[in-house]
Amino acid sequence: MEISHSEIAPGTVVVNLAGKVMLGSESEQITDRVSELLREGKRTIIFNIAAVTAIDSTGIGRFISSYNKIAAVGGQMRMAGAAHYLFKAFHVSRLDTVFRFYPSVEEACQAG
Amino acid sequence: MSASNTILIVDDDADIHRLLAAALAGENYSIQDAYDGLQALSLLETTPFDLVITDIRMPGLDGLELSRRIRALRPATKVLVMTAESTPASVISALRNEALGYFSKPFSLEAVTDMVARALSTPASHGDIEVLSAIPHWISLQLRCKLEVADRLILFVREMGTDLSPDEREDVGAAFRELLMNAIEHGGHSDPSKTVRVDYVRTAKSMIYKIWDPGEGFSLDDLPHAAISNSPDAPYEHMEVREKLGLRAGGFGILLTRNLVDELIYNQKGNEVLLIKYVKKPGETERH
Repeated sequence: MEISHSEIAPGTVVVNLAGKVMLGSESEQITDRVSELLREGKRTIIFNIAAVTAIDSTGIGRFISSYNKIAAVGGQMRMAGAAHYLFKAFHVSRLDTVFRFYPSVEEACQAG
Repeated sequence: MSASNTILIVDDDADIHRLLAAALAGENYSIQDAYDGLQALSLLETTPFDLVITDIRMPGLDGLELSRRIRALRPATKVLVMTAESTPASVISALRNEALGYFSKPFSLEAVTDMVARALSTPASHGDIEVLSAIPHWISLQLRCKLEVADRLILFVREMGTDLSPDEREDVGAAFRELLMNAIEHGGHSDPSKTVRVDYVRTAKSMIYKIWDPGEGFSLDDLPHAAISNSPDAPYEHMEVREKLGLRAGGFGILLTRNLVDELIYNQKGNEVLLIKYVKKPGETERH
C-alpha cells in the first residue's frame, strides 16, 4: 500500500492511497497519518481511493478508526473515486450510509 | 529490496520476457532469461537464483516439471508459475511442487510486480501448504497457521474459478480469504505448529470451499465484536467492543463474506464453514 497526502486548501487534505488496504502493518499508516494531520489542525480529510486495488475487513476497519478520530474533533471525512468493487465492500458493510462517497476528488473537494 | 535479488524468467515467448523485464526494471533486480525448461535447469545447476518465474507450456521440459526439479535442486529458490491456459490439474501440480504463486496470462504488470516483491520478501519455507489429496474436482489441503499462507493460497484459489466472471472470481477470492484469515487467526491463533484444512469441491452447479480450523469454535449469535451482530442503523457499533477487547480494526469478515457468495454455512461448533458459490452456465440467468 502506498500513501501520500497534499493540502489542497487551508485545513483540507487529500490522502492518496494506492494498492491493497489489508491486514498488516502497512494499512496502519492510514490511521497514523490521520492522527498526524489532525494534530496539525487539518479538519477535512478526503481519501482518494481511486488507486486502491483491494480491501479486506481490516482495511475497512482502518477507515472506521479514521472516521471516529476525525468526527471526534468535529472534522469531516470524504471518500473519493471508489471503484465498483471497492464501493461494494463498503455497501455490503452498510458503511455507505455513514461515509460520504464522491465520484472524484474534485467533487469531494467541492462538497460543503 | 536488495539489489542482489536474482530472478530467472523462463518462457519460450520473447514478448513475455520483454514485458516482465519492463515491469520489473524499476526494482533493480538482476534478471536472466531462459527460453525453455532445459536451458533454465542448466542455468540453475550452476547459479542459485532467488526467484524463478516460469511459464508452464514450453518445449522440452515444461514449467511444472521444471518446478519439481527446482524443488530438488535448489530448495531455497522460490518459484512463481504463469500460464495462458490455467487448469485445475496445473494448479494442483504447482501446489504439489510448492510454487509460491500462480498467475494467468494476460496479467497485470502491477499485480506481477507486487507478487514478485512479496515472493522475494517471504521467508523460504517448505510444507506450509500440503496437498492431502487432489483430483480436479476435489482438492484437500492442509495449511500451517501463518497469515502469509492465506495470501499465498489465494493466488491459486483465484485460478480455480476461471469460468466465473471477473467480478465473481474477485468476490469468491475475497470471501475465501476473509474466512481463511479468521480460521488461521482466531481458530489457529496464528500458531505455525497448528494447521487448518481446506477442501475445494467443484460440482456441476457450484463451487464449494470448506474450511476447518483447530479452534474451539463460536456461535454466530454471540459475536458482539463482529459487524454481523450490528443493528442495521449502527453499522460499526461492534468496533467499540473490539477496542475494549484490544482487537485490531476489522470484524467485517463474516458480513462481507455473506454478501459475496451464495451460501455460508457453519457447523454446530463453529470451527468449520462451507462457502458456496453457484456457477451459472453461459446464458443462464438467475432465478428468483
